[in-house]
Amino acid sequence: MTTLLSRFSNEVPGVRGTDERVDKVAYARDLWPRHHLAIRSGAGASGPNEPGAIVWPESTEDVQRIVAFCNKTGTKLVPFGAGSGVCGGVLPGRDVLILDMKRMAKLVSIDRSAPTLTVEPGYMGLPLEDELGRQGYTLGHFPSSIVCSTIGGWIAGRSAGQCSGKYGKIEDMVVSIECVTGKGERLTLARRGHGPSLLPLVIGSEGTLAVITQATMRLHPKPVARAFAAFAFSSTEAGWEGMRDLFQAGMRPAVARLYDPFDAMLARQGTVKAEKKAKGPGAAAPGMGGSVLRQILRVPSAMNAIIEGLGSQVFGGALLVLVFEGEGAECEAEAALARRRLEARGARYEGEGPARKWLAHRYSVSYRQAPVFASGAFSDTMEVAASWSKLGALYDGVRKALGKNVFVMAHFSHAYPDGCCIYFSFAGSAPPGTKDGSWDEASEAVYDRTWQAALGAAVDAGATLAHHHGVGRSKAPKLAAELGSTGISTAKAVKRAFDPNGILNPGALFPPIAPDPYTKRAGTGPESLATDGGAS
Amino acid sequence: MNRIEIDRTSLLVDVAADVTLDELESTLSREGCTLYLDGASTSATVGSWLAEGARGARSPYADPADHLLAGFEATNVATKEELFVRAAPRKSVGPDLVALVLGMRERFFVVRRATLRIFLYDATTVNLPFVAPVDADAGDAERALLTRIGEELARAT
Repeated sequence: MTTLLSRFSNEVPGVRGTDERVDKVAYARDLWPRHHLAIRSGAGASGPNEPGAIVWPESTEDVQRIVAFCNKTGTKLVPFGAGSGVCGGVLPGRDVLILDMKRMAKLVSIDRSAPTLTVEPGYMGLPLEDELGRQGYTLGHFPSSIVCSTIGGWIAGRSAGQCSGKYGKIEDMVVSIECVTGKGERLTLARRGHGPSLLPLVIGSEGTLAVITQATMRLHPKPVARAFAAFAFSSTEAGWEGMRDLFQAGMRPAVARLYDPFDAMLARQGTVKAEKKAKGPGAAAPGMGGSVLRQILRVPSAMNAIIEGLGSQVFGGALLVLVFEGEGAECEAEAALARRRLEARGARYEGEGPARKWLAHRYSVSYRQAPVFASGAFSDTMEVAASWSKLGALYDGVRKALGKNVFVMAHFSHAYPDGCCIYFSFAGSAPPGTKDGSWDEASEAVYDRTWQAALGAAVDAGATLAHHHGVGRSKAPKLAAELGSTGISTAKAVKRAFDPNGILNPGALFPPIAPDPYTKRAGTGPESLATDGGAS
Repeated sequence: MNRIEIDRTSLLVDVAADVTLDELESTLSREGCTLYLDGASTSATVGSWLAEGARGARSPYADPADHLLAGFEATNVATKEELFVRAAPRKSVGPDLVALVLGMRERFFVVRRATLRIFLYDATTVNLPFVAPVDADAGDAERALLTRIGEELARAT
């Protein structure tokens, strides 16, 4: 029997590939929590999503040959970085070829006069930043996934890092990219001061328009000094008003993170707990803690109401953590100025401790999800954004929509002069009365209903559905509610121009109209209009 | 809706495309705000200024955390369909359709309204030095892609 890999190897010799089962299982998904639920229930075990083969190009010419093969044979192609996405941007099928970019990971050059970096897309985040640091620079991009994500993935997903307050998001860092379109053309798209630039179409296109094969990025001098500060506010709203004041006054803390009261309590204490647990045997196992968690999460609305009622008195109020960084004493001056402005608004200075603690544990949060799923519960996050004047309606609307079914908390970690991102974290489980045999199915229904309601609330509040996680499959069903029918038809026209045969990452961004197992149960089918993976 | 609507909380202005920069700046100044333009022709309308690439606006290289065009309404020149891109400080919902408007000389869309960033007169300015890249001409492949986008948008319904 001719396999996809054998046919590929015959027609594209010299490119390494595999169709070993262990590899296919590893590449069958990203880190979308909804898919974790399907895996747990057994219904979505990786079988249907195992790709036909995985291939590793080593040059732009290889990518062009692979795209040509896919166009010729009608094979779908899914570009793959490190698989850290959380929205189902990667969910292949048996006839799909995975294009793993990690063997294209060369640091091509550093131009010290600009300064800029030219790099291949498969370079992993943390080693890249370490290398830049040795040469006296920083990209300024520190997503919590930095240990398990690539620069190509950051660009494809329009990623944001923890220091966005000073350095912006990834789209603010890209100077130019080289890419291979779905049609097979090799293109260089550059940022232009004035005049047309197609670069913003490819940034954030989630592998549906082109394969990024090289990027030139803006660099900054590696900071040599940091200043830390933390402030308590009587309410979350008072906290975000403080953030707004700083950013509209032209201040640019690298890190500005506001936690609502319950999230603030975890931020103040959680890292200590994590350290204690890590010392004990079986710290991550779902033992009695898992059982308690399941019981608590069965009554999320009561938990939310209790926390809402206790509010600031018990939890110590909302917490704003600031980190300024730069080349010298100006950091301390900026921190002092921020303190004066925030104290004038009624904030209480909490010293440097919470900010220093946050920095020490900045990447730990990514590892707290597995025990929740293992206990029978689920957790996820939703990052939405709006202008400041709509932020209150967004916070209240999404919190209310989530809070009916799951336990919810929030923090605000990417602020700009005109608005802010709200990062909701939630956890839930099957409702009371669910029998053990139908536990997973009931959990999935709660998750789907909750997710769709929260997306709807975000759209109703005038927000954007995604600030930096992308759309993938998780937000695609509501994309038309944000973009409108013309927005969808426009994006699909762009898709056809780049990828006329619709070979690139089908199912992401533009879901097929056929029933989607991830939204069917919630009774909220796709609202966008594509029928063929987005190419029409 | 008024031709000029200022959202002072968000430091945004929602403005009709036929308003001139001069008229807009005058309205903003009465509210203690400004577009912070440098060298732009103030007789130009907002729509034509955006179509020509918003010359004179603050460079995003000066402040990576800021941007110019938060959202817009526009008409597809071929199909006459109305496109509405809601204002947001940043987003991650697929291709950024701002690219089809800014600097495109109304090749694909004609802007009807725009939501622009404005500044308080007394705001601290942030200036990070950077040598901005020289605008490179589009190559053959990029020009061909622009043509295909136009063709596809003409049948986008």
